[in-house]
Amino acid sequence: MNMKPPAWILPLVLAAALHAAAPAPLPADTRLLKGTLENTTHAVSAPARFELTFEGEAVRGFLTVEAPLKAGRFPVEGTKRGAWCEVICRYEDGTRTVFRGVIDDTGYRGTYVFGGAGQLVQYGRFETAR
Amino acid sequence: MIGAGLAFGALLLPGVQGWLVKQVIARQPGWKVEFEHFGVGADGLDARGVAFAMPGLTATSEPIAVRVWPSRLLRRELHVEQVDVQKLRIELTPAQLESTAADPGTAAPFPGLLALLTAPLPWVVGQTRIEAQLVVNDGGQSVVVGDFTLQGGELRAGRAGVITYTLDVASALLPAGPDNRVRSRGEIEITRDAARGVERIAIRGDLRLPVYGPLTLPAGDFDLTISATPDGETYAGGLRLGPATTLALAGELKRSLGTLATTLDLRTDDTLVASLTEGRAPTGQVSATLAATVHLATTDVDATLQGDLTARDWARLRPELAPIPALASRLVATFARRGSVLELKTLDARLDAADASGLTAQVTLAGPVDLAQPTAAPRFTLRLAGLPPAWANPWLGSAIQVEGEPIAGAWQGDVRRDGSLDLTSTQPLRIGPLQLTGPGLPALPALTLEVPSRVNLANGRVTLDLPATALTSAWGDRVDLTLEASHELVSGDSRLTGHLNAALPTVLTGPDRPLPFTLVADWQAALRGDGAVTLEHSALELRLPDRTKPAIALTQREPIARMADGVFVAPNDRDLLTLEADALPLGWVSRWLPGYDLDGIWTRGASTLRSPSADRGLELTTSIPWRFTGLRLGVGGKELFRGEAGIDLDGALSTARVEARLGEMELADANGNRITGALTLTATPADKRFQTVLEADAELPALPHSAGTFGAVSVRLRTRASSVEGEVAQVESFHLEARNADGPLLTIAAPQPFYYFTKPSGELILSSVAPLTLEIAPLPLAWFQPLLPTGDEIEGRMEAMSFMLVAEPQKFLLRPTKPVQVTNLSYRQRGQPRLVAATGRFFPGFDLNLLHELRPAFQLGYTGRLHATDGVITVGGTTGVEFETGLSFIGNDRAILPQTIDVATRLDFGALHAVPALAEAGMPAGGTLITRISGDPLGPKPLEVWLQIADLRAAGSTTPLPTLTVAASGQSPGQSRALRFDVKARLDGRPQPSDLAFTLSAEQSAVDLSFESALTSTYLDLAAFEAFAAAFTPPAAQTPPPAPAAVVETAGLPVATARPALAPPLGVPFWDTLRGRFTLDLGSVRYAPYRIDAIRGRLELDDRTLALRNLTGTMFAGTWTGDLEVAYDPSRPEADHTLTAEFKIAQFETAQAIQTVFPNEYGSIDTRLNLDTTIKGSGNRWWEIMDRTEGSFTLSGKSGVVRLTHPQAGSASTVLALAGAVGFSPELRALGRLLKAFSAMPLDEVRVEGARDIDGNLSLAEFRIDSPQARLRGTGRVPVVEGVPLAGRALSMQLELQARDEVAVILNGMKLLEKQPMPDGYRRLNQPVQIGGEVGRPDPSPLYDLLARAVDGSGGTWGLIMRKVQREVDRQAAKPTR
Repeated sequence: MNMKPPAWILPLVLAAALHAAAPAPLPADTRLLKGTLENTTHAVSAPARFELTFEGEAVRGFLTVEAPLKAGRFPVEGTKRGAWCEVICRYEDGTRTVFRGVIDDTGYRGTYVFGGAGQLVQYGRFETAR
Repeated sequence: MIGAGLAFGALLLPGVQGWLVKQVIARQPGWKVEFEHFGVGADGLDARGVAFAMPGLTATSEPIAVRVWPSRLLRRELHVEQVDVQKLRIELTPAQLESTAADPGTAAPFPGLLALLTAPLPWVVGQTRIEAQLVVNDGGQSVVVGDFTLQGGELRAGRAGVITYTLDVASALLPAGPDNRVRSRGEIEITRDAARGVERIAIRGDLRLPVYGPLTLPAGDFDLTISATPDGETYAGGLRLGPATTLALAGELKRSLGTLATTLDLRTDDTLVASLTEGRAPTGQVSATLAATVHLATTDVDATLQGDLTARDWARLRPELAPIPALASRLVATFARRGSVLELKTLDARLDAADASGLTAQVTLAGPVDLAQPTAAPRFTLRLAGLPPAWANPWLGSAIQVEGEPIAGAWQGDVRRDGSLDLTSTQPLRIGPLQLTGPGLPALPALTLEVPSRVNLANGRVTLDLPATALTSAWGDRVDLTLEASHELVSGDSRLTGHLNAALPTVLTGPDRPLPFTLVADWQAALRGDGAVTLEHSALELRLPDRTKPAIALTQREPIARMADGVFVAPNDRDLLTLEADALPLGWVSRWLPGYDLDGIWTRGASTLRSPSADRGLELTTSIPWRFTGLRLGVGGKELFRGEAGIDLDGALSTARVEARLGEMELADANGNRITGALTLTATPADKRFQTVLEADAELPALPHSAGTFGAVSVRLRTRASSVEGEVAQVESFHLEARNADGPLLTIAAPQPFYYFTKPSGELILSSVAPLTLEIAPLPLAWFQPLLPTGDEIEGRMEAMSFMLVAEPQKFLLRPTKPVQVTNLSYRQRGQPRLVAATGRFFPGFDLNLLHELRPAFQLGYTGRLHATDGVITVGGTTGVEFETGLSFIGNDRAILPQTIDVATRLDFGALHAVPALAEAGMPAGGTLITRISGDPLGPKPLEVWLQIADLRAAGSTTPLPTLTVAASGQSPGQSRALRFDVKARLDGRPQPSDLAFTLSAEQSAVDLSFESALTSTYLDLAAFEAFAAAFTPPAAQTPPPAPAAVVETAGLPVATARPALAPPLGVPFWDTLRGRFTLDLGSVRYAPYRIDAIRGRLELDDRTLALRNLTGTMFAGTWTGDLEVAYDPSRPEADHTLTAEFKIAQFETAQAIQTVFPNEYGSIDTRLNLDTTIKGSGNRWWEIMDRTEGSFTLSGKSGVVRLTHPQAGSASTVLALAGAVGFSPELRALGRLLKAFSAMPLDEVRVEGARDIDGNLSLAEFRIDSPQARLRGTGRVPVVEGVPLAGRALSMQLELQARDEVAVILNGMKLLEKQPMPDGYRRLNQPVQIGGEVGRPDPSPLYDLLARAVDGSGGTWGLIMRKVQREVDRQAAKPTR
């Protein structure tokens, strides 16, 4: 007996197989990192806190900054490749602050650049730890 | 009688007595005495309110009491019992005393001081007490006021009496101050002779002199003794101030000769001068002797003064005087006084150097001079010789140094009757020949200057006349100079007139290209005492041969005066100064500008300085623009410009207005590049306002390297600046643009004005309203091609760049508006690609805070931060490097220091491996390196370094190596400039991670890293680290795997033969900058399959040695010890590193060693062994040394078990060995007994000696096992097999078996032994046995085959006989049990 499977079977099997082969979502890793931002252009420092959630290479979360820097809790997003981590924060429309540095088991440190909206670029460094 | 009585009675009345005294005193001209009370009684004299006056002296006193013994008067003796004088005030006016001095011509000869003290009567003085004040007047003022007291006495005939004195004198001549007084205390010892006179007076006292300005004289003492002699008197005394200064007096008065001869002798050193100058004076000694003889009858005097002065250490006075040696001078002068004539008869002063320089200066008086006669005209000569010109070098500085013949000259001096002084050369001052050298000077000929001179000082005027001064050179150059100068001493006015005529064929141009310049100059100038200068006339002409017009003519047409207030005064509307140039060659200028090469001709040019009117100051106009042709300028041998240039210079300078215009500026090179422009400046000094405009244009068709890139470039600069208010000025506009045919290449512009002003401290403050913009067009990297080494090629493009510069007070910010980006970058070296298809970009930024001051002293301070953000380098489209950098610094004009550092980088090895140059340098094939460096090297935050290498893959491998993480935290302890790092490293791995911890020190001023700490670890997998390091090892350095072409077969075993050549020497030890010592504390070190536990020891590194000393540990249950040293010797040409090492394992268990490779094996030898190993090696890299070690080893042990079992020994063998007596043939039973003996032979001793060759092959020179019934003797080899541990490597041994007792009986029964026993009873097997297998599992099957053949005939093998045994076993098992 020669039974030919219906035409829709193959796509269904392939879809099921592909679905089954897709990697399971990695467990989310959330870290709370507290420390300091130092605006080196204007020599001003302020306490700051990252709340970062890592999913694969994607990073999301919030940055909380206190006065005298622009205070508030701002959403951030970025990427992490190994220990190399880049996070972008948009304080307000048209501006963005890019934090780049190294994240390890103990903390997240590096430098940042603020610019956009016709404002003069400002530089800084940050140092946060768990 | 009555009258006489009345008279006597009247004489007893004090009033009468006083009147009589006044009358007697008044008989002396000018003498006068007054008193309130005066009376002479029976016991003495009593007076009060005495006032005595004589010319030049007055004396007043309160009570004066003099008690005498009247009765002694009756015996013709004046016996003064007591003298008491209080509040005596004596005022001396020396000027009045002189007027009454006696005429020496009529005075009797001086009889001597003691003779004058001879009294008419014998006398005695009992006690004396006098308190007096002494005043010396001069010019109507008291110049000296002092107190003195006298107390003592007992002056009696034939004995000495002592009177003590005190003296305390202040003087208006001394500086004010409480201690500025002259004080002296002492005693006067007066020795009476037996008659009426005094035999000896001795005065001794101390002396304290006041501080006089900076001069503090030491305390001193003095003495003076006057002694009577039969023929007169002698005088002896001295004054001593401190230890070095003495003044001695000696004299003798001889009445028979009528002479008084005295000698004064002064000696001192530099102590007093040093105290005065705080040590800044030469050292030396002074001595002077004045010997004089006074002829008492005539008062004629003959005197000789002789003085000597030596001085050395001239550098103490000024450092520039250091070359001057010790100088000795001597002055000898003789004087004579005859009547009123005081004559200086001779004078000779001479100065000589103490060294061989030959310096001599001498002043000699030509004839006697009457010092008291103002009309005398003394003449003297002055000679100077041997003055080394090199003594001037310290004054000249490093720019010019001089060497040459000593300077000499002679002058005659005449002091005229009118008081004038003439100093005229009798021998011209000759300086030279001199050789001038200096770093900025060309080679110059020897120069000689001859200066005849005449100096006249008369009537308050000094005139200097140099009539024919000549400067000549050895190359024929000559300068003739005449000069007249005068200076009025009172007014300060001076005049200077000179004429210079020079023929300079070579000095200016050099001997290699002589150009006979002639130079003529005249000038006449006047300098007023108030500072005003008038240049009345001046002219300078520079001429060349065969040209009628001078090359340079500078002519002053009218007098020009610069008044004391800075104002220029000159005739109005007249030409003051003209400058004309006509074909002046410029090539000779290069000779005077080291490093520069200038050539060309100043073709023409004429400018005139005028004074248009009184209020318009000076005006410069150029009637013929200056033009330069054939111009060529080179610097450091590289030609920078070749072409023509021109300029039109105009300007005006007055107190009200300054104008300057540089018009028609033109610079054109031979390639057609041309720059033109104009600069104008207008300023009004009164209100400090100015305006300046600069316009420049350039057409540059032939810029270097532009032919294939930019092509023709044009540049346009327009800028305008002006004052705003007060000190504030502004750059109104600034626009610089360079463009080519395609558009702008570089644009710098200020869209709005930017302001600047200078603070009183001199600090320049800049502030921009809007940022300055800098735009740069894309730049082909091929433009840099000519700058690259020969054979290198570059391609790619620097993309367009754009920056903004913001200036705020004391702050500058540079910001990019787009990234700095290089695209399509490729680099080739000699045709070989080194970098292909790379791009790079980053955003640069710069913040600078700058503070500076110019006044009162220059100061500069700054902080700043450099940024490189969002940096990415891609190779072949893949991101290879990402980086973020921030570096802040702080500095001043002397130093710059890093303040904070923030660096984060991510390297993708896989992408970078695609760069050929990096791949060849050892870049791994895959993995990432993430690095973070952050901290404040100068601040409280530690400098932290963190790096992680993950997913590392070596070339040709797909398996990632474990992750390595290193963290270091560094800080400067205290004020140290060293950074001390605590370093921790972790290498993930199985079965457990490796870890390391140690401390490193880095000296900031040096490149060395030093450590002095413990190196600790709980677990260290050396193989994992080796694999990690191998991933970074350059391919050329990696040991090639055994390849067929590199391996030959020896006795069936592979032996590596070919080795790669050594890498070139490093020139430094491979531990490079590491220095120090580690104390090792390692838990376990594993190098699979081996493992050493509890390692202790020391690692020491110095400039020449890396050493592991006193290593201990446990290995295979034995004690492992070792020492290793790598010595670096750069003099070894081929391999500069050599290794020597010695390792031992005491009493290790063979079973453990074998079971590391064969876990289920007991091993052929079961014992505890001692291993001694020595190793040596050499190479230029560490892996070469490890790969090329060779050495020897010894294994020894006693007692234990040796097993010679067949590798395939099965149950049949066991049965044969254990049940050989059951039903087997006699041969098999014998074999069974032998097997049993072989399966566990007791071991007496084992010893193996061997060596490891440079390729790793082992040779066994001696293999010896002794047991009671059998001995093994042999040699063998263990060839190297990469990646296989020793116990698993193939073994090849040639063994000899020797047996005795039962084993010998059995083997003999098999006819396997030689017939003749050895002396010790053992008998050799009659044929050798070849043993194979592995080191840890030898295969003795050839021995068993031999046994089988002996048992079962020549065709038997061990397998056959075992099968036969098995059949027999089976057969016997099938029999019914009985």
